[in-house]
Amino acid sequence: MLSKIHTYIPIMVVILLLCIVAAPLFHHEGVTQEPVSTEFGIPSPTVPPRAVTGTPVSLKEAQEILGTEFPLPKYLPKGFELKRVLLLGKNIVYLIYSDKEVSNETNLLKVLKEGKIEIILQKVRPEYFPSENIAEMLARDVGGSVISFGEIKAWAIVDVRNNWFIIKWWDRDRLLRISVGTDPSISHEETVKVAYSMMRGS
Amino acid sequence: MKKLITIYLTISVVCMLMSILALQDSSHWYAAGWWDEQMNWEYQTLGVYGVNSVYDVYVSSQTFVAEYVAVVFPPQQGGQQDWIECGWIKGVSVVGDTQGKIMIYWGYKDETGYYSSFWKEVFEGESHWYKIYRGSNYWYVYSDGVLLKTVPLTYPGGLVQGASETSSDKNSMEGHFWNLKEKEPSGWWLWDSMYADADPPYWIQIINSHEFITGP
Repeated sequence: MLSKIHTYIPIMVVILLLCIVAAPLFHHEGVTQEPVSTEFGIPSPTVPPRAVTGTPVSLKEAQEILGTEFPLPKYLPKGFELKRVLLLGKNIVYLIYSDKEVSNETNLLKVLKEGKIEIILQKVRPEYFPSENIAEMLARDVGGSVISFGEIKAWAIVDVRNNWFIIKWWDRDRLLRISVGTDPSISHEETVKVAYSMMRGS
Repeated sequence: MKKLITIYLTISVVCMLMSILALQDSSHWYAAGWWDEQMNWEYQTLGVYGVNSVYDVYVSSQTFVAEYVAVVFPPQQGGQQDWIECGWIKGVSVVGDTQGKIMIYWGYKDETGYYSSFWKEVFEGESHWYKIYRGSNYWYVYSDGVLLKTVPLTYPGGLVQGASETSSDKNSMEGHFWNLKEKEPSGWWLWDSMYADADPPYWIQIINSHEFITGP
């Protein structure tokens, strides 16, 4: 068989040439007239990647710096606990939960890959709030769904980039934008429970 | 047996090509300027405006050069980061069938993927302006007075910047941005300070707090 390998060389060459010719077919047009996803490994403009560094703080320090008593989840799946509290500037707090150890990394873009339940609380000026129907509008225009927690309407969506399930809402009383996300190992029902446990009257 | 070998070789070559394409995607070089105020670094800016010159830059095969203004949003769960950008672009792999034309485009990334579109062809020596800002429920993307895109609002504010970007260090990246402004609740203001950074072999030079050039 090996002695006849030379008979396959022309076939190999033809296949190689065909692949080279066909290579542009893999190049999805990143800029087209209609929005399309470009997840085919094609270079497309991004933005300068900056190391976004979070400052490790205690929960108490985070509450003091944000200047508001932000809500914490009263419910967590079994075995999960708060591993990291990181502050970005003076208005965004990242709470990272896991049932495993999390590194001491402070680059948020890296450490946020380690958690399994992540809560982001952002203090927002009153004039920065969107209209009351923002959740319905996002579900209509972007996708996902609206989850009603009593008077609070949250927007829920599966992030196609990493399959996290994320629930977001705006707390006008506390002047916070709150976002709860869980990795694919956690069920959506559990995520809803975590989010609901952060709301007033839960 | 012959058939099996053929299938095996085909799969191997395709995998090899896909690996090369994947590698290309991870290579980007930037020369960028950021409005250097605490409010900006805390992702609380409401918009960016800027004018830039169009250069007929050299772009090697399957790569691009883009020069744009952008609003970048804070990191999200799983280490994701979203943004909106608008500027001009030249490049085979990105512009597809435009045969190396220089086009004004917008692009954004959100939970559902990356989206972008051309608007119009532009030419060396021209200058064009871009504006991205938030309203109550949407971010608006304008160029030369025309609304190009509305993006549903999921973030209250962002980090604003102007940037020249390329996917190959063999390209040229001449750039000139000026009249850079940021938006606050009180209105539009010229950048009063700037932080700049570039990946060699490219460089950036601050002309004043709201103007910079890039190259080579």
